[in-house]
Amino acid sequence: MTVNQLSATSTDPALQVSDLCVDVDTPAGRIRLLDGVSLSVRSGERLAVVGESGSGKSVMARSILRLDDSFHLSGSIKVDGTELVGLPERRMERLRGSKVGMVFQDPLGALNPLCTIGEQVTEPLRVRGVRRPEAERAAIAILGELGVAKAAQRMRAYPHEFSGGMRQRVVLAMALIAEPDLLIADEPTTALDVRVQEQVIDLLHEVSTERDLAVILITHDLGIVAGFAERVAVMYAGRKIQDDAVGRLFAEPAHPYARGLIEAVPRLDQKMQRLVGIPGVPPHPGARPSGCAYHPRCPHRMEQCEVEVPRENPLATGGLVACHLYPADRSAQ
Amino acid sequence: MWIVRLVTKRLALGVVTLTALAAIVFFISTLVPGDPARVAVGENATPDQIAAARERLGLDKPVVMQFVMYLGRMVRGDLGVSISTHSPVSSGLAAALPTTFELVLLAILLMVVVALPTATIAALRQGHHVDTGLRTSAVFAAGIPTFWLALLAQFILAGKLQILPISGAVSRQYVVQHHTGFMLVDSTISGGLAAGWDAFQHLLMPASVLAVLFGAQLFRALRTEIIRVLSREHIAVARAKGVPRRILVLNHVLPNAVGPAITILGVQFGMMVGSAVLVESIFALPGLGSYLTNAVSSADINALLGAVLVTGVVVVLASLLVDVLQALRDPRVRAAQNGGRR
Repeated sequence: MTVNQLSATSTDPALQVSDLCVDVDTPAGRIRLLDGVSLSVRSGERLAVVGESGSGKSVMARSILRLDDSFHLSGSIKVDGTELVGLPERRMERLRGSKVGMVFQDPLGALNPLCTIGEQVTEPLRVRGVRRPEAERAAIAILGELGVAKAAQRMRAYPHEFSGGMRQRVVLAMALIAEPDLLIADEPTTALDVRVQEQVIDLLHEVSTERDLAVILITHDLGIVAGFAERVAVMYAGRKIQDDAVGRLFAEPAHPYARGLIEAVPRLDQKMQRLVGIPGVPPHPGARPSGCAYHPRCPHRMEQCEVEVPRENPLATGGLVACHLYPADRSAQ
Repeated sequence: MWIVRLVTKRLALGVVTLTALAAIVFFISTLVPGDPARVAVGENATPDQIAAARERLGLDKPVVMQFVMYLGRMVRGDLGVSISTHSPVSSGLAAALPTTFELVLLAILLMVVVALPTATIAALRQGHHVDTGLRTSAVFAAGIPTFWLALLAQFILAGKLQILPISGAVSRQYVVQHHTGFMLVDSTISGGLAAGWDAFQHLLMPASVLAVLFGAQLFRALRTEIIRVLSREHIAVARAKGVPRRILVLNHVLPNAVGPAITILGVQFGMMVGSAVLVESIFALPGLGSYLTNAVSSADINALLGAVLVTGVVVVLASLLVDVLQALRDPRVRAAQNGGRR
């Protein structure tokens, strides 16, 4: 990569999400799954998005590629300067895979059981008009690069002949073969055993550095976050509540929820009597509390929290937080 | 090789099935009132003539012996002589079977051609007006009695609109020589494309009538399965790879969704041969159905057994074909046939 290209890519964010709202129609009425999330990822940056189930992290991941037709999107999603909200499906199809790749949670469910590995890995190139021999060469190369042994022979194998970890490598190869600038990994290790989890995360890290690839890792596993990401966005009840460099977030989490999450992680380097949890359960998307959605569970709640949604403000130490404990004027001092 | 294992296994099972089927039909037929020997020699025969016929037909032997003798002849391809027509049952069946085959195969073709695209459209537009309309039509189609639909079709299409012939296999003006037994083929060989087209027109209405009920079932099974497959993760993954919608449906959704439909078609095939009995008699087609009706009404045990056995063979072969198709479709089925080896 030349110096010119490097500077060009590092100034534009690979992804710029602004005030994104996602609604879905249910028999009980319209429910807001994602409520005004803004997020940006620089090219080559590794961002982790963490939160409990139902916090909207997967909704955000799937909304960026507009994979669910039942989602109503408003706000803005910009990839490489192209606005995706309202983009015609035809153009969206061309953009999927080539600008943004995606890796999913369940590596067996992510592969078509009736097609060979080769057919599936070459497909992103084939649908873009690349001829079979050329696409196959590229597939063998990328499978080899991602650690699939005897890639050339295994092209003719079927998904059920692969182990979980190998399948996730195949899924990663499918996501990367058309050379996207951004990879979204939606809980890619949840279905795998611990040793394989580590391998897959290491692989993602390696690929990100080697290809200057921006990666958004969606996870609820803070242990993975620490070793992988440069920056972390914490989500709660459809909103982003904190966004900070990984070291700062772990050292001094500003938002009470983020603090609760980090304290809930069992640690080996400290003596602990028992595991600390966050009291209560995350709210259902259809019945979110008023004001700050975290206030019923928050140990620092104030009257203001029950009525007013906190805005995202910069912290004095860097990073962003949406909490009334950190009003804009105070942190600006 | 998976296909050899699969075919041998299923054929062995088929032999067992057919023996059991033959036993059931044979013993039930001995309970049916009516003396086959008396039927064979006619109304005015003397008791001596009836006794002679009984001995000639082996009807004086114990029932179990009769069955064993029948099985022995069956294995050699000899299904006996029809008691009422005095001609070999095998040749009678050979003449009747192709007509039924044509009827059922054309019906299946119509079913697939109509049900596959409509079910796909309904599933992709789930909950929209198109889907609701198609589903309502399918419920109606599945609820219409076949005999009533046949008469209605004759009344409207042949009687009022006169766009299709009312009954028969081919118009009288065409002299059709026997080549293959298949009317569509024979008429084309004998009288050219015009005769073939004429035979096709004759077959179209009965085949459509037969297709309606079974096609509606097929539509519903396909629609449900397509919706199920659409929500699978690998469909989202394929979309995320940038696969356009048309290729997504053709390469990813449909191959995964047709499994249950293929199995249902295999079951339906046997049921359709049964329904063909009714349709053939309404449309005056000389098929297996007509042969079976005649056999029952004249207490013709050999003909009856032969017809049921041949139907059984057809059903066994259809289910074998289903298994082969499923194995061709799904590599996991092939792997299971090879005993888990890759």
